[in-house]
Amino acid sequence: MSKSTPGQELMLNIDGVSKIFPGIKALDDVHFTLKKGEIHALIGENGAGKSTFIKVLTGVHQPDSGTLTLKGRSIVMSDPLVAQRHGIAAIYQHLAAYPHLSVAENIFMCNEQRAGQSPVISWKQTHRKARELLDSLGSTISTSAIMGELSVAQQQIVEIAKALSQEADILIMDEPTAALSKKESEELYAIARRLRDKGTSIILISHRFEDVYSLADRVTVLRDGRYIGTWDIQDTDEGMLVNHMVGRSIDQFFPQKTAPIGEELLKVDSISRLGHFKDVSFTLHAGEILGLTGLVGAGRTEVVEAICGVTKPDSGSVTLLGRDVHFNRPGQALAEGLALLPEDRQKQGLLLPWSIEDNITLSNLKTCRSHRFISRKTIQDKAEQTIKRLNIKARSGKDTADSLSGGNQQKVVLGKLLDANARVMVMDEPTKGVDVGSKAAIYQIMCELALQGFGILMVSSEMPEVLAMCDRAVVMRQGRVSAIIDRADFSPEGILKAGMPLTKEAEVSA
Amino acid sequence: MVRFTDKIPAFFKRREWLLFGLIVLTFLFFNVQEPNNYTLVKLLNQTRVYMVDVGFMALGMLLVLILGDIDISVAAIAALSATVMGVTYKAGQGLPFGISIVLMLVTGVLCGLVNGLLVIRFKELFPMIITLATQTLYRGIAYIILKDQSAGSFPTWFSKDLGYGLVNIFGLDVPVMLLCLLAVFPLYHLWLHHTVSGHRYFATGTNLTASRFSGIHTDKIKLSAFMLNGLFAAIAGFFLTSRTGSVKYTIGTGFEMQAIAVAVLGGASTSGGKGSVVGLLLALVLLTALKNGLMLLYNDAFILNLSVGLLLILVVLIPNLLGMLNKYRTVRRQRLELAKT
Repeated sequence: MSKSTPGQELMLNIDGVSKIFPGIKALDDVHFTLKKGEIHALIGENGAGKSTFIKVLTGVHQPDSGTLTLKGRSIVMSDPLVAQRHGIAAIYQHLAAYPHLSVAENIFMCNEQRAGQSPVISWKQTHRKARELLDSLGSTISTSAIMGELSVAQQQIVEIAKALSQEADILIMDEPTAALSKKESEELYAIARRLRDKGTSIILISHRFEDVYSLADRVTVLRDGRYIGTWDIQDTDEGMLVNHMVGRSIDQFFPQKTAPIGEELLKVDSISRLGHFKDVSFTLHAGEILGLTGLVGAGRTEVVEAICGVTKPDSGSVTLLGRDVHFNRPGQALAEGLALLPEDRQKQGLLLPWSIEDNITLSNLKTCRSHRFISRKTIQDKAEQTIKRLNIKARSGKDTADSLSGGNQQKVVLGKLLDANARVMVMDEPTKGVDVGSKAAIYQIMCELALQGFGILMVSSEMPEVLAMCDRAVVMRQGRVSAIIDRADFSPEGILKAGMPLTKEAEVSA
Repeated sequence: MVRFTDKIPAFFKRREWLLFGLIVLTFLFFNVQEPNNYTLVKLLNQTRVYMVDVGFMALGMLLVLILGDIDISVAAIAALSATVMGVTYKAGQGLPFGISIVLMLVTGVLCGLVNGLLVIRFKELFPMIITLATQTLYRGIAYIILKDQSAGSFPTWFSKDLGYGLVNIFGLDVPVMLLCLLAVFPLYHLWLHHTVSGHRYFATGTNLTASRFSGIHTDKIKLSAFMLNGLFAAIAGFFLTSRTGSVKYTIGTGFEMQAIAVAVLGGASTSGGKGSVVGLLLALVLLTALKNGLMLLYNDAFILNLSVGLLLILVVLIPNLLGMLNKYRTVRRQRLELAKT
């Protein structure tokens, strides 16, 4: 692998950028430099502030402080168009393309090719130029193919072509290989290297060390919105980067789980939902924490949503506390003692403009009545108990949910479910975007619940969390259960391998 | 550190006070212009014309708006329900009047049910578009039934005692209709703001997905809101018929806008989750005072619509601006707090 020495010319210098959202400091004094013709990896855990950083850089958000210098000139990115004019282009994880338009149309959207000053689009020119761009990327995709019918990898190449058509010299790639096979990833690496060698600077955001080590020249780590450091890639190793990303050793905040495993609470027997998952079976016992892990997109959320009545499985059966259940909506599941802590707490978990106490009591409001009417007093008392029990940090129960930090918001959602008298708690990414302190608190609560005889099913993408917390782990791969691993047999490699897409694994072993 | 500017929005956020002030100002303004024709006593009498039917419609509309939906077919529902009542009664030749009334109410609820089913079934369509379609449908059915005819000759107690009747309370002649409307308000307030089922409408309107995940049967809530809205529209049609004495397929045209205006004026937000019965009542009084005054000054229904439109724009703007100001202040406060740490 030949790595060209990046030039010393500084393309981009970001100094002391901070961004505050209500209740959370998303970026705190972040520094970042980008040289001409380098690939600079930006890494960090979920919620570390990478996305916000990119949004500030592309003008979607305006920073509250800090300066942005582009090619030696101080710039205010007041909106995305400014960023585009200055040659910054981003290729997002979830592509923002026009699926029903052709490749050529996608590439030249908002930059339509016309003959001179004519108001009419010249389709001949559009397709010719699109062809040139795709050829320069070594791609054979037809310019008249419909975008939505292409594979994710092909769509990404089109997006890159689009960025090139705008003469972008700073390219941001957000998790570009997340949905790609090994072979496709290699192709993307080749394209990225070719662009770099032509002088394009690339900011690479990735969770995969494989990407970072095969592409990046330098790496910057963010954690909890703070700048941790920048290193030349040669001076780092995976362990060191993980330490910087996590910022603590793992044993410190995972509590010791002591709960004994009891009787079977939940039995899922070969449930399927067309296009999402197939033949998923597992059991969950009282006092057990069962991990449901695998790559994002493996169908984990879809499985728990089907179990909890958000959607319905096409076939298979779910047995809860010894009874066959078919839920049409989450409310029925909750009434039977099956609670779901949803993945997106802001959209699915909370009524953001409502107070903490109203949120906490929402699922169990019927018990907050005196005679026929709602009693504010009861609501306050009940919420106060939950706030104390979960140590929710707020000035009072009257504070609105949107004024809380991510961790405390998660505790409020959890408090609401606890108030609803469940036996089985399904938690979908319970610590996603949650600060370190709240993470530890949530783990502590999980252990206490297990001790009280709850069965906990935790969907998680974070390996340390699965390894430390779970009694068993169900690993999913492409909609199927690929392995159920006991705690005694836990190893990061084993879980990772079981979760990796099959095509990739086959190629690796070949 | 509390500054004066921090206090102003808090005061105006009590929308009830804002509305109360506007009522007083409106009354004084028209009272000066028309000292003989625009008095409290006369205004009270005119509530019969300007307040009752729109008031009932607004009560139902409030519920739909709290859910973040809208229903512009209410006036058509009122017309169709009243048509059903008039046609089945057949000026005394048809069904007993009591049964006609029941049929009218059932018609209203059924129309609401159709709206509700369409709204929950076709989530990708806006309720605005759905009810725009059903609006023409319902009024179209009323037209097919009645053509250009009108149905009338209702019993005296209906068209005279209810439509024009007055009750003397503390020396004031209060229309019977107004008493019927006012009797509903306290019950409605208690139900909506102080019971679990009322609370659920606010929860669903604030965040439908989260409410569903919290165990609320959100489809049932939506359906019931549209059905109640249909019921209230039918009741509005009932009172409208009692004061005009006969039914045509055109009755109540444009009332849906007034009902929406009143609910929004009273604190409901078209994005859902907000609304107040007390605010609604005050907004209703304000609109009545305004309409009555404008009719006295200009005697032209056109100026009336124009002013309602203007008022609606203003009132939708004010909470938006206040909301923006409030959000800005929250963020600024948090920035200051975080800067300290």
